[in-house]
Amino acid sequence: MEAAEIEQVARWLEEAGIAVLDITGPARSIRITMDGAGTADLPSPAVSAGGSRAVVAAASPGTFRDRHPLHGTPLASEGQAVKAGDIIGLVEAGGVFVPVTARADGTIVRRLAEPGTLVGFGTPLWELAAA
Amino acid sequence: MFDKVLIANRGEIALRILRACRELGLKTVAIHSQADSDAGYLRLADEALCIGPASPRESYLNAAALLLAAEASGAQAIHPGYGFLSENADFAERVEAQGLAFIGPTAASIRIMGDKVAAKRAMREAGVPCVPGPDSALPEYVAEVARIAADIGYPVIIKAAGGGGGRGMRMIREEAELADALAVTREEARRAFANPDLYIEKFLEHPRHVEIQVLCDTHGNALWLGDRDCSMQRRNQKVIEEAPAPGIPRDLVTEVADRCVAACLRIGYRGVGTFEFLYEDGAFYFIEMNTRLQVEHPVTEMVSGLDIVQEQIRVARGEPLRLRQSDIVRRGHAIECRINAEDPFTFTPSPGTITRWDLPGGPGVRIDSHALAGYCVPPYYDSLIAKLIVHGETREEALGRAHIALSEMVVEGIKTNIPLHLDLIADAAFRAGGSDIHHLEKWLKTSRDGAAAGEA
Repeated sequence: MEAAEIEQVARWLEEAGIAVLDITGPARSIRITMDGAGTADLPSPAVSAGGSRAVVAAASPGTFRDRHPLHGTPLASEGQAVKAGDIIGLVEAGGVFVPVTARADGTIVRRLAEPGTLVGFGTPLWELAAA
Repeated sequence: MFDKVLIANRGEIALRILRACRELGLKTVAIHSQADSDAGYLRLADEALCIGPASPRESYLNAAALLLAAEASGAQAIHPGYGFLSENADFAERVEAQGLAFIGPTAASIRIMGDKVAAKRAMREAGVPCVPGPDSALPEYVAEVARIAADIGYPVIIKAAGGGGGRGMRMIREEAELADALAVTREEARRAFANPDLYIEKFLEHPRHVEIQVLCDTHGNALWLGDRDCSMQRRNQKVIEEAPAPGIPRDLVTEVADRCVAACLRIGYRGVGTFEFLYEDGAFYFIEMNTRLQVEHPVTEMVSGLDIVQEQIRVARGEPLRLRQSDIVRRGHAIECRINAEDPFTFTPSPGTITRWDLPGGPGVRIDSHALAGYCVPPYYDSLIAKLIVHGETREEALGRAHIALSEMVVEGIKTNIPLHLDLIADAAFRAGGSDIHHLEKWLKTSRDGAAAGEA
């Protein structure tokens, strides 16, 4: 599990009011304990130096999609308010759709990649203004 | 048949494969890590795609990301180069399961050769000479191992079945050392290779490293392209390679090479491969087979006139070999110096920005390199930045060209091992030819002690 994913899970726990989460796998186990203090101020790694803007980038190579092929409406558009964990795009490779999620609550400022283009790991897709 | 190749590697070999694909009229996808985003060869590919961060585990070793990149870019074949996933049977299997061509042997061949005990058994059955010792894993009890060791005769060497390339082995001079050495090596093998099996062989004291390059198609044809001497090694890493191996009777090389070809046909081998041997007192002993393209393939290209990477891609496309054994004529002598970004005497890696990059040239001089002036050598990967390859009608002419070419090459901004190569090319034992695999380490120790004495 990456630091950013742990942070995401921690945010969900905070929202749901859960104090302790234990995950045990074959090779490792992870325990997240919410002490209730300062968790709301967890720094987001994707937030730029200004602290208010964040870039959401592709996590795997594929074709950037702003909507699922079966749906007519885009998953996100400029000016839209999003919550941490919301799916705001897809990266498609070989029929597999990898979700692109917002890491923090905020508002979508602009789209940084054209839907239908080939993107790689780290290609900026959306700019978000943190709430 | 594929017409778009994803190159699952970096650095000089990525560029080498890219050039071969372009000459064959194939489209290319160059994948890279974030640390290699500025590499100059990326702009030569039809598409460049970042697949992960700098860490090799998350990029060049990330099979899932490579397969997604192939899907996304429409590549129908993957060339693994050398190192990284090139000898990973599971990866080869996943590539083919996804309906793509793996430019290399079948997963089954990789698996047999990756298990050194199984490889030795397969080679014995095919009549390839092996190092004395049983072609089975060692028994659990020390007393039984001691009996086997006594039969072989000390000194012996115990090796991990899952090892190779000089890793996971221990030399034993007498029976008293056996129990401890067995326990330690078995534990290392369990941890490093997830396979605790060990095997035992006679330890050769002064061997040379001599290898045979083979090429096989999928229509029942196999060829050997030439022999190489790679005895100039430090910590099992080759520093200088040459072709042909000097001073070995040609009929003996031919006899061993013919057996390698027979072994390939027997196991249904596909693509390029290298049979590695120890050579001592006029005899060859098989140690392992590398089931991939090798760093030192250019010396064989220089003496045979063949483009081994293009041939490898052609057979992966299902084409039958266009040559017969009698068509392969080796001419002259070739030497390759591996130029590394490292301190020439302490061998500490020296990453950083290259500020000056003056390359040698002229007849019989070839450079395989991805580096350029202004290029930054990242600290995360192998330190190989260039291969300087020279060819001459005779070994003496090649040695002369190597010296001149090395003295013309100027690299600034980072340290390189060019000064070490200049010393080695001038070394009397290397010039005479036929020095053993321990020569360089001994030479380094003596010259360092000499330098220390000089300073004192």
